[in-house]
Parts: sequence; C-alpha cells; structure tokens
Amino acid sequence: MGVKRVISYEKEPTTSQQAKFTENIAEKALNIIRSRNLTYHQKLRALAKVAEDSIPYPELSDHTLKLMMEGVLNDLYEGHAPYRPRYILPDYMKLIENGSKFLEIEPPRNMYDAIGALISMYANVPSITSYPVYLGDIDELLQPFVKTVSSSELVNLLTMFWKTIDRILPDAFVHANLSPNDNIITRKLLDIELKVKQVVPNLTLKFDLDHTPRDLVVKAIVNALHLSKPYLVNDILVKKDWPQGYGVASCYNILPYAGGSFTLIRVNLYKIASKYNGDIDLILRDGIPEVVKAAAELVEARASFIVEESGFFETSFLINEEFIYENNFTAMFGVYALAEALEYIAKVNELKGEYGYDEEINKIAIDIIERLYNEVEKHHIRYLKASNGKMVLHSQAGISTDKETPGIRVKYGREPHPYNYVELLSVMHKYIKAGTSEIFTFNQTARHNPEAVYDIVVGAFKKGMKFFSITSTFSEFIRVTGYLIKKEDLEKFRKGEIARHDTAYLGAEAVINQKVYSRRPLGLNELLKLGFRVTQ
Amino acid sequence: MKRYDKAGNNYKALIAGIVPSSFVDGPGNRLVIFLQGCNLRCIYCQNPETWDLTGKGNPLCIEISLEELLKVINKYIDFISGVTFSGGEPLLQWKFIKEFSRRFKNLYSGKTIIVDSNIDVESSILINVSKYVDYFTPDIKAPNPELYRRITGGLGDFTRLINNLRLLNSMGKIYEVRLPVIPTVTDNERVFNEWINILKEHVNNNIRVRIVKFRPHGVINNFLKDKTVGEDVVKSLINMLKTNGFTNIVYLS
Repeated sequence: MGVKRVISYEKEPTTSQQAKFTENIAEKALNIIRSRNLTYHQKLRALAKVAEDSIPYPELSDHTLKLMMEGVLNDLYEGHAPYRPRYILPDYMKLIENGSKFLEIEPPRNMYDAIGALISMYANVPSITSYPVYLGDIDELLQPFVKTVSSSELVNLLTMFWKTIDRILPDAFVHANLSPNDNIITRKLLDIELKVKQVVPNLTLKFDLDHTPRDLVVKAIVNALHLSKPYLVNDILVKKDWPQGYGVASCYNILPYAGGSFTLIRVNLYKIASKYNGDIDLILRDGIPEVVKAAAELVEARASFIVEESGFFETSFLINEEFIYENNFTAMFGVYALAEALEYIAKVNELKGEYGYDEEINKIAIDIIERLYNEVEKHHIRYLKASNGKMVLHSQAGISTDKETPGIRVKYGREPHPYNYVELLSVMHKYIKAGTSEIFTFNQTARHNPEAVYDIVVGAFKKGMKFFSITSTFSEFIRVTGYLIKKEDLEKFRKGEIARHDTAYLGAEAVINQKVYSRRPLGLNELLKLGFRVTQ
Repeated sequence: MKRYDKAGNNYKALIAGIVPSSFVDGPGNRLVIFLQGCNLRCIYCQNPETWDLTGKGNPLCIEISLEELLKVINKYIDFISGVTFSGGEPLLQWKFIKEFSRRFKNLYSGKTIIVDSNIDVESSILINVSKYVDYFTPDIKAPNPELYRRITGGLGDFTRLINNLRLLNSMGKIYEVRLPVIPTVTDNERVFNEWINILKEHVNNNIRVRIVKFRPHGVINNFLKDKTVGEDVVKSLINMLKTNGFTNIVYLS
C-alpha cells in the first residue's frame, strides 16, 4: 500500500536513515502539536512515529544503506523500530464462532451481537496505520445471523455497521472483502455502498469464474463504475497462490489469511535502470540481484525486530487466541516505476517503441519482472513461513509523494486498449502473488452497458490476470494509488481545511503529483478516434 | 454481386472494417463487423464510404472468407458477449450472415449474434436469418412515409419498415429500437409524437429505446454542417417517451 503519514511540515521526506541524524525530535514533536490541519488522533499517531524514529534503525550493511540513500530501495517510512506487523489479517470467523476471551466477547447469537463483536475487534487490530487494514469476508461472517433479524432491520443494521466503520476507522486503507458466494449480505452491502457513498471501507469482491453468479458481479461492476470499488480478484487463481486462504488488505495487498505481512519494502525500478545506464543486460545480470539481496537483508532485519524485540508475537491476544499465527506471515517485495524504467531504457538504447504498445519493450518489462521473481526466490529469510521463507512480489501502487507510475502500470493517460493491456499484464501477474492494481477507466458507454465491463473482466481473468480494478469518467471517487478519496476532500485539501480521513491528504497530494486525472477512459468513441477501426 | 454468395463451400464477405470492442452495439462487449454496401442513402449517414456494393471509394474495404473471420474473432472470444453485424446494410449479405452465425453458434454456445439493420429489406430475409441471429437493433429513421423517403435519399419503403418492425417484435427479436435525432429533420415535437405513436402501435412498451443524437463527423451533406441538437431537445423526447410508458431509455450525451 505504501502509506507515508504525510505531515504538513515534511513535504519532501528524506529517508529514515538521513532523518535519524538530522532531526530534532523535540522540534518535530512541537511542530506536530502546533499543526492546524491535523486532527487529535492524527497528531497522536504522528507523535508516536517521532518517538519510534528516535530509536536507531535495525543494523544494516553499508551496501544496503547506500541503496536506501540512493532511493533505489526504501521501507516506505515504516518506522525504525517496528512493534507490530505492517499488515494483519485476523481470522474473524474464529471470533464469530468462539468470541474472544481477551476482549470479553461471547460467541455472537444474533446479528446485533455479531456486528458489535466485529466493531469491537476492529478497534483492537493494529497495523502500520494503526487502523485494521483487513475486515474479513463480511458476508461470510454475518450470513449465519441473517435469520435473527427482519429484512428491514438487516438493512438498518448493515447501514449502521458501514457508517460506524467509516466514522471510527477513518482511513481508506481499511479494507473489507466479500466472498465469491452469492448471499443477501453481499447484495445489501452493495446497495448500501451506493447510498452512503463512503471511501471507507475499501472493498474487494472475490470473483470465482465458475461459481459467482453473473448478475452479482455485474451489480458489483455497476458500483465500481460509480464508486471505483469494489475491486475484483480472480479467486480461482489467487487461491492457488495462497492455499492456506487469503484476504485483500489495505491497497490491494493479497496476503495469507490468519497472518499477514511483516513489512513492505519497495524498489524503484527506474532508479535501478538509471544506475546501470539503461544497459538491459547489466540490469538483469547485476542490478536486480544487487537490490534483491539488499531487500532481503532489510526484510530480515525488520521481521526479526518485530518477532524478537517487540514481543508482539508473545503478547498479542491475536496470537494467544489464534486469530493469527506467526507461521502465516510473509513479507512483500514491492516494485514500482516500471514505466519510467522502460522509458529510460528505450531512450538510452534508441528504441522507438512505447511500453504497453511495442512488443520489444513489453518483452523487456516481462524479463525484468521474471528476473525479479527468480532472484527473490533465491533468498531464504527467517520468519517468512507463510511463503516458504521467500518474499512475495507486489506491484506497489505508490505513495503520495511519488512522481513515478505505480507498480507495473503503463503511464497514466497512455493505457493501451484493454485487450492489449490484459495480454501484457496477465503474463506479469503470474509472478506477482501479493497484489497489484492496474486501473481500467471506462467512459459513459459503460454506464448503460455494465455487462460489457463484465465481459472484459471475464476475458482478463481467463487470460490469467489476477486482479482487476475499475473506475470511470463519472465515478464519484478518485482511485489514487490503491485507495479512494472523495472529490470534495480534494477541494478541502486545496483550501487547507482539516479532513476527517487521513488518506484525504495523501490522495490530494498523489492526484497532483501523479496526474491521476489524465487516465485514459475506454469506450467506442475513443477507440474510433484512435483509429481502432481495423481491417484484417 | 456474386462474391458473397455461396461458391462451393466457400463463403466470403465484403467488409468495411472490424471494431474489436464496442459497448454500444448490443448487450455486453461486442466485436462489430461492418459489412460493405447499402440499399439506402441516408442524408445524415456518417459512413457513406460503406454505401457502394463493390467497395468502390472505400480503401479499407476488403474481402474476407468465413474461416478467416472466425479466426479473427477467436482471438477476442473470451472478451465478448458476441458479434454484431453493422454496415452499410448488413442484410444485403444475408447469406453470409446466416452461414457465419450458424457456424459461430456451433463453436461458441451462449454467445450472441446481433444485426444492426435498417430492416428495410424483404421480410423473408429477416425470417431466414432469424434462426441464428439473436436480435436486431432497427432504427426508425422517421415516423411517416414522406419524411422516411426524404431521409433515405428517396429509396426507403416505409410500409416495409413498419411491417418488419411488427414482425421482429412478434418474434421477440428486437434488442433495442433506435431513434436518430437529426437537426432540422427529426428534432421537433411533431416527429417525437409520431415516433411515440409508432412505438405504441407496433412494439411492446418495455422495449429498450436508444436515442441517437446526430454528431457531425463524417457526414457529406452540407445542410447539416455545424448543426447540432440541443440537450434540451433530447430531454423533451425522453420525457415524452417516459410519459407514454417507455421507461427503458438509453441516451449517451
């Protein structure tokens, strides 16, 4: 996901390493306290971060530190002394079945109990943002209690549940999932989503090509065209990646169920390309192994600190009551700025083609991702037991200060026709287990024909794409990197007002930095204008 | 024009182009095949290069065999709900459409065939291809014989159009009816009222009605240059349709 808690005084954040030596902690803290555009809780978390970062960073080799200084590799400002895993995906079904001793929650007997239990638990699940980044397959959790309330009560309760989540967890990285099964909860929640129009929670529908009914998926697509969510996951393929079960957390991180990810580090592929002067052979031979080795060291240092120093896995009720297992944790190796890397490589090598359009350039992209995957597989890291000791590849959606293109996406505004984009992405998705989120933007023609979008999603999933993110030219929300912001919050940011959602700041900044508005919509008129009327 | 008739087992079509992805030519995402040749000469036609039956004047026009066409479609088949034939007037090559659709349906069960026809053709043709064609998307270019004749360049047969509209409606073969709103020609309330009467008389009122607003690109007629239809005009047509019980209306502004 890549959350840097952007604080107003820190527009161009330096790396954590540099910051360690230069910052004056007291001054930083006072600046936060004096800030006029942070809420109380936002200040509290920012202050905690200052305290954490006053502790020396886990020990790293000079080589790894150098790569971090150069911006090739970074830890997404996770903090110097991690005291909880970055992403935690609890087994909430256990709460439904057994309740929780620590939270003094009895096993729920009806819909009221169940929703109360979940809200209570959410408030006690930490993450890098301090909010829970995963809320479970909501429909599966609540389905057992449908018959305990009338149908109008059900809608009222679900609406209250949804509004409460947004008000007490005001962070667009808070992510709910819907199972691939058809049921009344999923259908009602999709209706409620259109009514309440909240960016929180972020939402994913697991789409099983063989079992999820067509009309349910079309209903979800109608929502996605208006709200840019839910996001669709290819359940059949992703289940193969994570046989122990999976959830979608934060901004499109696909992670083991009843576990999660210790950390997310990421590499800037453009920086690797430029460091090796665009020489593709050298990038593949030396550049990638170099950075993967450093990343492995960084991940090991951070994961070890959480397990050995912080005591999280010894003391958390999540562990004690088996909502999570240490064995179900992994770590994510994020990549971004592939588009810029390829642009640079093309320029240096005087290649005419463009990423997304030219076969030669696309082949280089695939080679890079494949090489990264193979290299990552060579490094065994203690504690990453959910993935055989290996880091898992993630197409990282960027952070607000990025000027580069997220993950493996083609540049904004230059997206190729979906057929061609799908063909390219499906090859790369093979290697990416921990989530990615290329955005497909549709125009007005999709509003009257959401089945057409369904067709494209089905085609994409059949070709091997694992994830599909939909937005439209008429969506009320803007999908930024992997989360959503309201257009009105963008205005608030511009005026310098306080926004209730933490992510509003990040979003506004990202919209400005990443030219999000220039995404290319897809529809017949555009295709005709592009001369897409082909004769064979 | 023998080229697209049956020659041994070898069916060929004269096509003006293929659009691999369209969201506005029937249900779902569709591959659209534009067939060359038209029997009408509509004054607002946006692709007059598809008129000539031999493809003269259309450098993009090519002849393609049924097998070749199926191969092209197979590349995209996972992404589409089906194939739409447009034109020109696609039913001028109805034998090709019929054989293509038969083969296509055998290969891909569940996928649909739509024909975007002016339905100003022999009724027997419609009946003949209906065996394999799922739906038609006829347009009612004008609601009375005089205007229809004028709009179609003097070639249209209004009685035939209405008979065929009734025929397709009775067979349940209409996906949507299209009403083209053309500046100075069909953009007035008198025409709107007549249109609604035609719809009320000849088709079910749950029919999907698409309003197609004239857009001035590709048009050869000078009198339409720089002319547009106001949004308020379209809105009044929508309101009139709704008041008369036609609620399934599609319009892209």
